[in-house]
This record gives sequence, structure tokens and C-alpha cells, in this order.
Amino acid sequence: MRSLRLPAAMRDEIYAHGQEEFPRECMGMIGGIDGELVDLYRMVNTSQIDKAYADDPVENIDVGERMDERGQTPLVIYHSNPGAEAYFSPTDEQAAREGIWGPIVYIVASIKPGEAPYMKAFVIPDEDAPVESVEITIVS
Amino acid sequence: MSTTTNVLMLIPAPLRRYTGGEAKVTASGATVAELIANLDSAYPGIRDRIVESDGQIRRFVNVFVNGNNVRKLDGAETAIKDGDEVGIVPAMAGGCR
Repeated sequence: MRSLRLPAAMRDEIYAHGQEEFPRECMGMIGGIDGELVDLYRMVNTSQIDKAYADDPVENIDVGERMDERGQTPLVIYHSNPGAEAYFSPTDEQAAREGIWGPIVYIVASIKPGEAPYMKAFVIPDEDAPVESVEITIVS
Repeated sequence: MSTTTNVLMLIPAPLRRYTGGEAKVTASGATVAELIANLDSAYPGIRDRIVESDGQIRRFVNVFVNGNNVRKLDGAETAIKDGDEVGIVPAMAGGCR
């Protein structure tokens, strides 16, 4: 299984973001250098419907420029599943396959009131390959 | 149709594998569709990442001309003039259903 070294501060930031946005989904990206995650970028969820997320393309451009300036590449797209388990839904998979991010890692965080949050990670390594789970290793 | 030159195209990180790592390339064309076709001549394979086989811009891709999303203009037929800046932007979307 592929693995992802996720700094504890980023894990906590994703949970905090998901709890702040609850009951809506939160979303964002993590940029990195040479496979190491460096900066987390919170983004605005513009989806008009619940249980979904969609970016603001203007903010997306801005985040891309900030990553370029810092020599980073986008390595992770994260979002929360409010009130639900952490899984890669059919909607997620369809968007990933129709999208052009390539083998980026998707982190999905389960955010439920009164329960400990948790997260899972997924990747589609090649265009025609099935979704694979990615092992998350928390690092300090 | 006249050919426009000196259009700067901003290539997003996931598509730079087609452009040899370049984030900014120049292309020519009188419309977005022509630009993308010409871009594909220089960087084969990139067109299919941006538009569908019928030429329409892919659902999870946005194309901006001077900061304006072409979905709100004339889509792939949006006219291009000399000196324009054209950005390709991969969309992010999903949901728990």
C-alpha cells in the first residue's frame, strides 16, 4: 500500500477546518516538495448543495500561484464528510476520474458531532486503475 | 481566420508533465479551441486533458482568459487577441454521496 507522511499539525488543521464548516464539507489542498507535505491551503467550498464540495476557480488559481512561488506541487486534496464515515464516494471517484489532477492523494475526514474525527486517504494511480487506499503515517 | 500570436498560457501543475515542466508557454490561435489545438501540436496529449472529443471544455476544467472564465463567455469559441493571458485550471469537486 502507498503511504503518506502527514504532519500532525496538518491532520489537526483538517479536523479543525471540518468542524468549523460542519454541517458543510470543508476542502483544501496540501502542497509539498519532493513528496514531503509543506503547506496546507484552506479553500472555500462553493457548492450550492449539501454533502458536496466544489472549488472557487479564482481561489484555485491563487493557491496554484502560491505553491509555484514556494516551489511546491499539489500533493493532496482534502475534504470532510460531515456526519458520515470517511470513504471515497462514487461522486468523489467520478470527479477524480473526470478531473485532471492525476495521481494526487485525496484525504477524506469523517466529522461527526460527539465522535472523534478520523481520516482515510485514497489515490487513483493511473487513469484506468481502481481506487487504492493510502496508508497515513502521522509525523511530528 | 487570422492567427493570433503571443498568447501566454498558464499551465497548471498536473499538466506540466506535457510541457516539460514549464508553467508558462506561448501559443497561437484566434479562439480558445485553436489555441488548445496548437498547444497540442507542441505538447502532444495535452488537448485531451482540457477538452472533450467534441471540443467542449471538460467538466472539471476551467479556462480563463484575462481572468474571465470562458464558461461565462463563448466557451471554447471565445475569441483570443494578441497579448491575452489564458489560464488552464483543474477543478476540485466531490461529495459524500
